[in-house]
Amino acid sequence: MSGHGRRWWALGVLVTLLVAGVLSRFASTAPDGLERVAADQGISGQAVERSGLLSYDGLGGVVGVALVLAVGLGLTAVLRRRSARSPRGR
Amino acid sequence: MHVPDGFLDLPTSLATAAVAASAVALSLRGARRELDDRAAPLAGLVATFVFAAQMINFPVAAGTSGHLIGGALAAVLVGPWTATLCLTVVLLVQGLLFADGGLSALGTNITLMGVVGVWTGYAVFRLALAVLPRRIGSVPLAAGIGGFASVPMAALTFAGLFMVGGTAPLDAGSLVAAMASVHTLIGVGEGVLTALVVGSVVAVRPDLVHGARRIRAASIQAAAPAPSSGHRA
Repeated sequence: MSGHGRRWWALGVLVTLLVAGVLSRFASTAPDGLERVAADQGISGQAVERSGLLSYDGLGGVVGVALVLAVGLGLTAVLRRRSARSPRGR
Repeated sequence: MHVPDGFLDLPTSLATAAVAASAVALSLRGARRELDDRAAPLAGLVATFVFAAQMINFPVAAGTSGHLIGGALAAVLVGPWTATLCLTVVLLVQGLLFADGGLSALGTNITLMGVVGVWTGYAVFRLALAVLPRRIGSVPLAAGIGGFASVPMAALTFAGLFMVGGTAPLDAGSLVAAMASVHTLIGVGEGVLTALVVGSVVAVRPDLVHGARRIRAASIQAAAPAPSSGHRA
């Protein structure tokens, strides 16, 4: 990436961190569309609830962002290396 | 839209897991063509943005919320094969670490959001782009229309799956009507957010937007008939 490309990319990461770390505080806690329909149809009880290692608060959001970014970049790098080796890859 | 464990029976969950696994395998091949020098840095960023944006539930009606799915958004920005992989990574992290969406429902959620959401969103985007005027400003609008359509399509797919393998007897018509109506409202939010985000990227770096390539290629050709070396990031 050129200098302009890097700046642009860093801006994207910053916006994403702000969305996950700050904007997430203002997210609605009302049931989502599927949860609402399930409740109205009387099937909410069928759902098996689990508890996660992380929760969607500011900290969990930032950790999640870092994880998705790491996996995404890693996967991209692997796919690019494979396509560089195989002539039909591009 | 994240389906929990317990809604669909085992055969249906296994079937959607097979669909999801096949889609991911095909996407691993297809994405290699999409991930050129320009798109590669954007792909990880798009997955990350979709994860962050999915945290932000917005109110849609009395006591109901929705959030961006991001399938159409990712498809327009980095291409549909790569978009399926982006959504798969997001859903894996959500399912494994945040307990958002069931584990036995992982294949269902990848099918609904990473396959149906991505590909119906992308197909409607391409249709809209073919109808709209051939200029760069049409790209965000077409992306918004694709995003809007993708949400009720994914919701109806869930309704269909539940009729086949749901763990409770429900009236098909009532479930379809309920899923379609709520998710059409959520789709409006999806469409607006998709158009805004694609519009922002188009404004700053139109060369990075996968869905804008044909229009840019046509306008560059019209401006300069001689083949150029192309603009590189």
